[in-house]
Amino acid sequence: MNPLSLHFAVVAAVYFAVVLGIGVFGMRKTKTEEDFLTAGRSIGPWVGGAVLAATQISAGTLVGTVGRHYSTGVSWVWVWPGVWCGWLVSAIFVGPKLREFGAVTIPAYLAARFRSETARLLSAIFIIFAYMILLVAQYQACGVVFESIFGIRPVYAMAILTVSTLLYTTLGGVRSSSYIDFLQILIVVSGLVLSVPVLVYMFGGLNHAGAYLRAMDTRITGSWYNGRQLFGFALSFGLAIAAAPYEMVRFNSMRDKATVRNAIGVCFIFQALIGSCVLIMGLMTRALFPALPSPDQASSIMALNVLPPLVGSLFMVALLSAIMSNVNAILLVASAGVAHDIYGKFINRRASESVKLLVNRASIVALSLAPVWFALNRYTDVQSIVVVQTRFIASFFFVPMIIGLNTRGGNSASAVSSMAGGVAGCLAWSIWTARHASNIDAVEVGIACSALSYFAVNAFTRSDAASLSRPADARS
Amino acid sequence: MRDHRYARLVLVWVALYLCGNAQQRHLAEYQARVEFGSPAAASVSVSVRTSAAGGSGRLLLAPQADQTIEGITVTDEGGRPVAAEARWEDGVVRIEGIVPEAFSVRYRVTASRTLHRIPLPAPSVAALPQQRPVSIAVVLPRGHVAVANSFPGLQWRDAEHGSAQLAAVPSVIVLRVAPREAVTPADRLLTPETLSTTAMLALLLLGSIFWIARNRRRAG
Repeated sequence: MNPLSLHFAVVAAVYFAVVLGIGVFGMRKTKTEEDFLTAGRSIGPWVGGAVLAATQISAGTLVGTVGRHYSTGVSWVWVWPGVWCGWLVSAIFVGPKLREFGAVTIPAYLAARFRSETARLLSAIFIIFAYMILLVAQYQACGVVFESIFGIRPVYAMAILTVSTLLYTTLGGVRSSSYIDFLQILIVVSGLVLSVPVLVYMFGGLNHAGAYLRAMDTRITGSWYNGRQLFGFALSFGLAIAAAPYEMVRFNSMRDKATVRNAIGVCFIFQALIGSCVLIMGLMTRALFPALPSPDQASSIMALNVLPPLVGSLFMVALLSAIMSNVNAILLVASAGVAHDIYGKFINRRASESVKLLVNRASIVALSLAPVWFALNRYTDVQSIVVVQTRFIASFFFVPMIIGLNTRGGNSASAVSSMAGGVAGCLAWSIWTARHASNIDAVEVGIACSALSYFAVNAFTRSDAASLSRPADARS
Repeated sequence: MRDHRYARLVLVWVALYLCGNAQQRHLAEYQARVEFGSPAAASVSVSVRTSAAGGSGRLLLAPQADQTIEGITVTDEGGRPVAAEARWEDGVVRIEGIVPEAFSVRYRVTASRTLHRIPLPAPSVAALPQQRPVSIAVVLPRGHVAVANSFPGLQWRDAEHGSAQLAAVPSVIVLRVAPREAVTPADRLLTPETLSTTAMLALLLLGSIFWIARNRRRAG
């Protein structure tokens, strides 16, 4: 083990001991399934904002986005306005209204809003499918990080990730992870902010790095992507954020509607800071190490070779912690889909709270193992996997969520056809564009199909959906 | 006749399989030696071996504004000069026309004051994952030492000889060199490394204090 690996191992051991302690504390306070999923609805705006940022900023950002800036340069930064627009839509049209509605999971909301058990089942299945894609990205990122630090094979890294995440997810649920997320975002933000001046100093200034990168490839400091491509990426991220099921589970853990709005505002601050740092980090790492085996290695190679040992190790631990946090959030949402919406509603309607909690935890274990094979095959880079997942999430949920929360119309058939139309359009266009070049993004086709299906079916069927006020059975 | 047709199909299949699984051109070996003649000048010798000839045939050097680079020579494995052209453009030195799979580059870099950053030529081809084919050796002027950490992190055999083994080629070596008797404790402490480490620890401490205070206020 080289000195850098040793530094990392010591820092990681201390950090994860703290995480385990908080996990055990969380378990003692978790009594019911709703406690497990919503942390007793006790979280305030500052912690809530940090939690939202930490949930979204994961391997996709710290490995994938840094890698994308490393390989393609500045132009990827135009995806961020899409993300922020997504948060604005969420703050105005989704978050507070969903919090007021009070449903525990997104399938529960759709079932209550459209009086549709089919919508519940379909959305639960779609959530599991979409988040398995995102889990592949997280596992792959973890493999890359461990490969860079210890030179070990990615399969061992994924085994470590699975076991450690299972420990704290199954022990504590959201309550424990919310407090861990706060600690994690603190390390991520301070690590990112401190890495920028160190990187700039190492190369000898931003202008100097700009000239070097321009000499390497003018597209790195100019435009790697055209406007249409960037619009497609920004739209995917924005719409997926606006309707992201795992972010919405976090809304449910907050005190009230006002707390949700303020938390989204706090989340903006964290994200603007992180987005700027990630851009500079990607570019400066390209200047310092022009040819890495994979762009996904940019952040870990940077942390280990450029940053001081303690700062680099803490950053890497925060990165791994971000991966764990994201895996935790995904597993919570997907397992809630299995336990609450599939098992509790379609397999055993009379299941007690303790049985549902048991099924929830068992499905976390099963779902955490499913994406390992895909991650080991490394079909593409981390950011590309995240983009695919955002396209599907946006196409599945954006239209029924936005329309459901903001209008009175709609029924079971329109909600189901909207989700099915969205996924069919997105999938068909993704397959088509794999062979034929097109300027139209799959998310645009998915959203258009979803909206058209909703309105077409709604026009020919009777509207029997619940009103905007919270139905009595929304929590069930 | 039919058997021959099947055999041909199998051969085509095998050929396609091998083409599909052929490894990409990668960096097999990179050895850089930086020898300081004085605190303001160093000669750099780099030998590169890739898995196959080709690629962009271009190397870039990024000297600082106060540095000059002289005597650039490119030779092949047998020591014969390669017809490469070096030119300055927008503050960057471009060496173009390097075709062989193994070659060496030599040059001398001089700074107006102390030589703090030594530019290295980084090929556009990457190493294979889990390999560390990049080795860097630094020899300091007699009677001089490296103050604080360097980039990349060097292991010092003695006060004047440092080396590093890496997975990727850095485009610069950052090293602060000073006469042994002139180094003060402040030189070792007031570095970007110690300052950023201190700042990180302070932020974590302040964050923890905020967290505890917030929880106590809510509990009380």
